[in-house]
Amino acid sequence: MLEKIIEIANRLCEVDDVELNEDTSIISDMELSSLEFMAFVAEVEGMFNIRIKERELRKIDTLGELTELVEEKLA
Amino acid sequence: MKKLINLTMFDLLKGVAMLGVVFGHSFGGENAVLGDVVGKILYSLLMPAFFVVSGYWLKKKEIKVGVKTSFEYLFVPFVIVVLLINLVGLGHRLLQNDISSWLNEFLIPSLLVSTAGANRVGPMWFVFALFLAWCLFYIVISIKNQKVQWMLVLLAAIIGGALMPFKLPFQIAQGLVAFSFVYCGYILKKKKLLDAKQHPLVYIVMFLAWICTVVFGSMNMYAYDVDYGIVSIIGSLCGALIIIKLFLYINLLEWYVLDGIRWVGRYSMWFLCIHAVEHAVFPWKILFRFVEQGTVIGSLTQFLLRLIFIIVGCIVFQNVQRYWIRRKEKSKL
Repeated sequence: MLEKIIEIANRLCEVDDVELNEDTSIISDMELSSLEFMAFVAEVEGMFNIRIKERELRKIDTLGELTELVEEKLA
Repeated sequence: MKKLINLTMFDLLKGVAMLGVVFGHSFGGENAVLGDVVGKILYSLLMPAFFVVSGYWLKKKEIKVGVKTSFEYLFVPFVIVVLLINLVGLGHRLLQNDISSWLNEFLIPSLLVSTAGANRVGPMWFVFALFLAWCLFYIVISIKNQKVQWMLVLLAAIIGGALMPFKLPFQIAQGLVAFSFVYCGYILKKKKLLDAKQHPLVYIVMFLAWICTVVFGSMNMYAYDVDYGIVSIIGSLCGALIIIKLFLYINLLEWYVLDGIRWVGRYSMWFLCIHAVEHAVFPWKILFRFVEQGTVIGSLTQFLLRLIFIIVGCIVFQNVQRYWIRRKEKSKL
């Protein structure tokens, strides 16, 4: 699942200069613009058929945390 | 643990700004119930704040890549929305056999991206100005010498402010001013200024600077009205920084009603685009046969109807996007 999320991040977000892993901070390492971030979240939601609420997004910082959230929603 | 700096920290501010735009268009302008008040707050405070927070998340990229990103996320939506507005407007004016008004109000202002005089560009001026600001950002940020960067930012603000009264097309003046706000947003993140504690006196001085801009001058980029050029721009920037910081703390509250506003902020681009279309082409005069235009009831009714239409539109787009993404994934398997 983490690999899929990383694949989306690499595809959408021009983050070639950062090696993405579960500890990658979406805020400080990936540095996505707000519109890129919206597209990234939309792609994750669409791919896994889930909805991520605003208060859930607020607690996420790393790709690992995002992966955990997705896994919780799919469980 | 609640964190001040998080992925959605600006969504509340953006949501309030979007709701403010719709509110201002319902209660200001033709309705003129609240007159200048909403407009002044919106244009001198929330609009600059929106440009600043947009810049916060930007990072250095190759100029070509940055301009391509700007094109994809800002220019393309701008063209789509303006095209749609013009097509609907053309249909309406053909029925009225009034092509010249379509040319004067719709097509020519759209091609020139001009909000001078009667126009249906409306709120989309912001998207185009932001597109120019992002392009300028990616160009300037590629310069290694930071002092040169700052000089160019200051020059952009000065020239943008000075050019405003000339009502140039293509949002040239607005783009220059917007770029200076966007760059300040980038610096906020780079220097970690948002979570740094400042002396209360700093906020007081900034608040006074903003108040002076609003009371003694004007800062309305839509109307090409930046009374005192760079002074008004700095005053608005001060106000924007205060409101950004204030909303970071308000954002820590976990009230359900705030979640709704955050949702609006999250989808602010769609919200603005849909509002731009309904603002430009919806025959609101029909509503005003049932409620009196220019009254609180009339304006409130229009505001609520607009909100319903825009929110439903955003939900539809959201679902269409998800369906499209799932279909793409299935076709890969």
